Amino acid sequence: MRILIVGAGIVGYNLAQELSQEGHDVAIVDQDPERIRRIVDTLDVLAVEGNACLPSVLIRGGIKSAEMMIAVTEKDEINLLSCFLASRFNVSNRFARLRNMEFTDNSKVFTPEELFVDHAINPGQIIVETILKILETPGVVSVAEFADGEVLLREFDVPENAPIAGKSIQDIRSITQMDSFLIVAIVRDGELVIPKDQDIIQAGDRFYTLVDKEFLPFLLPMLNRTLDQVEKIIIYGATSTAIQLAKALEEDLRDVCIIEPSREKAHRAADKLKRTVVQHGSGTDMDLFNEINMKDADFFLALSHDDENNILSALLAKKYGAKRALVITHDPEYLPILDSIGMDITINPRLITVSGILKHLRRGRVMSVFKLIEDAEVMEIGVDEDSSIVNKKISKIKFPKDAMIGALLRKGEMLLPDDEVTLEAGDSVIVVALPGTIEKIENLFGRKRSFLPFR
Amino acid sequence: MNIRAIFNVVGVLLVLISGLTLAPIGVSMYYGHDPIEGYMSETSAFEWTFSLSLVSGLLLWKLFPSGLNKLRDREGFAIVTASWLSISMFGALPLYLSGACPEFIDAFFESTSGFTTTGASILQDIDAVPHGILFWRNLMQWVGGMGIILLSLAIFPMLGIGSFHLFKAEIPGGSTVEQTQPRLAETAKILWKTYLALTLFEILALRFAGLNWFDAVCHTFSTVATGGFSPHNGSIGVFDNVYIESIIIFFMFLGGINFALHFQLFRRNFAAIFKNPEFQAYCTLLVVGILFVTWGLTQVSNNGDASQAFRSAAFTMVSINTTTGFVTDDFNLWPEYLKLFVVAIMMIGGCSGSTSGSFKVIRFIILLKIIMRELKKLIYPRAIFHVKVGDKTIDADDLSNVAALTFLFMGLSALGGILLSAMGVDLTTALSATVASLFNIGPGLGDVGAMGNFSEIPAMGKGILILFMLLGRLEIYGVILLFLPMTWRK
Repeated sequence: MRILIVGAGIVGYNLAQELSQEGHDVAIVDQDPERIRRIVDTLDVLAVEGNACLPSVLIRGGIKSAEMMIAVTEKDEINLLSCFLASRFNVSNRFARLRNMEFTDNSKVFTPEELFVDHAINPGQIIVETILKILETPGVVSVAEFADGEVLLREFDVPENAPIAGKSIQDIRSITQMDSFLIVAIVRDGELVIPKDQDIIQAGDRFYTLVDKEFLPFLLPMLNRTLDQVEKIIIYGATSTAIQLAKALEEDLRDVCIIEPSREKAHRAADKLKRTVVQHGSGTDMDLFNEINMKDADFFLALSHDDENNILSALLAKKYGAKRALVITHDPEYLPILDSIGMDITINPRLITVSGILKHLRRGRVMSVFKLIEDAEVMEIGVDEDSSIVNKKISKIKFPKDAMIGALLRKGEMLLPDDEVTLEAGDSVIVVALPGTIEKIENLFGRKRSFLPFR
Repeated sequence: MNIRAIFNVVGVLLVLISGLTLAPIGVSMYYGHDPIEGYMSETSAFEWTFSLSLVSGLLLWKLFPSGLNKLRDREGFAIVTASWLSISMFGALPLYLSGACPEFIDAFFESTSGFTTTGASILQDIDAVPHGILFWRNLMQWVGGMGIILLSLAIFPMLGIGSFHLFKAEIPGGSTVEQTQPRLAETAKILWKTYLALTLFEILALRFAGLNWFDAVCHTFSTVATGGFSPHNGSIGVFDNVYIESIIIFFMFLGGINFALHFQLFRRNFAAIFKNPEFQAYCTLLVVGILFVTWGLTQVSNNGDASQAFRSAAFTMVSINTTTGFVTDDFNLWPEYLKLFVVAIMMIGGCSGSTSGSFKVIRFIILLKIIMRELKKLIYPRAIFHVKVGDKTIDADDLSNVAALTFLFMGLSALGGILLSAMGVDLTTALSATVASLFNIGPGLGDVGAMGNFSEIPAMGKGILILFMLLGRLEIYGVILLFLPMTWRK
């Protein structure tokens, strides 16, 4: 497929790299000669320097034969206009990153389709939704969703006094008597293992669980958590994402405070928010932390555009007593060190955008992928008619030792992967796989692996 | 300062006034009262006024053709102040010429009180005054309620260019009122059409409730304008009719609402009305006030008749809060704390963009929120708080404008009280007369109370009150501006 990407920022670059490696013919357009040079030097794609709002530039990028346009420049206006031009050139699939909430939330005047955009990706909105999910599930470390939100993947801490601590996997299964909840991986001392029936959950572990979305509230008591624990939230950086998040949070009557170093931005935030207290100050100001009682904070969210300030302020906030910290880093290079310095949750907006777009591209193959630590993955894979495992009982499939089927989805219902269940075409399965086994699994399903950089 | 533009607009308005006098000419011819001894008949008084204002108006208009498009804010304020002064002067002519008010200062007081929708009167025996003059008093209120400039904007579209300065200077509530139409002339037309519709409805309702046409029209004029002139000594109290009182309460209430909201009502956009924070506060204030006064009155009256107390409380509270000043019950006889409460309510008034005078509910809300912000700032010294009404942040400039205006209103009230007391008026009367004039209510306490009038105030004091009524109607700044040397510097 011929694909034209507009905008060679981090997102555009990652997409170009990803798609080109998968065998697509990729052209990329950007105005910045520096970015174009970097792409020419490192990737096997056609790089065109010029303004993407000009039809002549798009023609140079081969839009006449392109089947897909992905507009991911910094500006919504440019993305919208280039998608419109693409529709004039009869490009059938048009993706755009639209950051302004007005294009994507419920108050929108026109749907993206009416603006000639087939799929609009709003990273800010995805981040806000992700953070809200994390906040509404106490003790959760990371979240992902499968089967259009029917099945939730959640990573939890196990606190000292949790009823679940000290129980084996088998015990837990017999207590709950539920087929909507399965522990699919345990992280102990930084190592991830796929649990066996007799393995025991210990305090201080983290575990990944697949859970039916209806069942989530029943899971929390087992971890000795209640739903209303997050009361005081402190946000660093009054970005539009932060404002959107604060708006949602203040509706729940939560105690929200935003710290913003720029007076102008602080005023803009105060203008848009009602109950939230906007403080003008730096994210590393101890006096300010004291003034707003950082030690009582349930959650510290570092959401500014500056990675280094985000990390530093989150470190200081935790030092000062904030119970949990979430950091946004834009540069993927920081991701590996964040766990080791005690950041509870990290989010990377650029990679969220890439995954968001790739998910649409991959429809019918690996539906989505969520990366766990150490390159282990949770994948949602569709069972096709022509694959080698269709119409087989699960017990008959030669599954690798370090992988397991976590859940089976049939017509929107979550089933536990009993040995006696037969896989049917149209089902999808959620598979947890350690790094060595991923290739084998792909062979089993007759599918090439899809890589989704997330987290 | 563009003096020519001022004369030009004043000329236009005088022509307009001459047109208005045609109506009372008709009324006076219909009733045909005998002239008061030593004075001309009222019909000829109106005819004189008609010719004088028409001639001087045309002269000013044609002699000073000027480009209104080069107006600045200062000219806007000067034009509005000069216009209101001159129309009040000409409006006083029929009263003076016909002998209804033998002293010119009295006639001037009466017409200023009319145009500014104050409703304070110096007439001792209103029932004895001929019908044409009575009609003229109420017509002045009706025109003054929605604003004479606004009327001219609706009628003479050529004034429309650059006249936002005029609009801003005249409309009650000033910059807090939002313009909704692309053309000012359109806005002016919509406002006047709404006003006309309200007027028609009320005339019909009152006629249906049993008033004769003359009383229905006159009371309607002063109700929708929230003015308060009545052609009877006993105001609305003479009818002693619950239906008439309810109709008038209802229309006073409507007159105290922002006319932009009436427009929403015609468009059936009810959500916009009920979500309007000023409307909510206005209703809350009325309900709480009525309940409080009802409770207070049941404590003093001998039999504790709650329904009678409620009737009296509801009429008085709505009348005072909308700055109308109609009376059914002499609140001069109420207990002291209720009298003070009435004066306090006078100082709040109706909504911005309505026909009511006074400080306006929106400014009151803003003021309370400024106070809240100061308190919050003490807890979080480094936090940034915006003062918001609804979801809209109020600009820092508007905040200081409101704060300064509050001080001006309070300061002028005190000043007026001191000056009137110095002229030998007793303290209650002096203070309440000042407040009732400055906030455009009408009746005060003491000698100028619900059943009294302003005739006993010394001539100098009347002069001060005339100035105060104008200050109140034009919201102080515009009038004060004319006394600053800065305004006149080249």
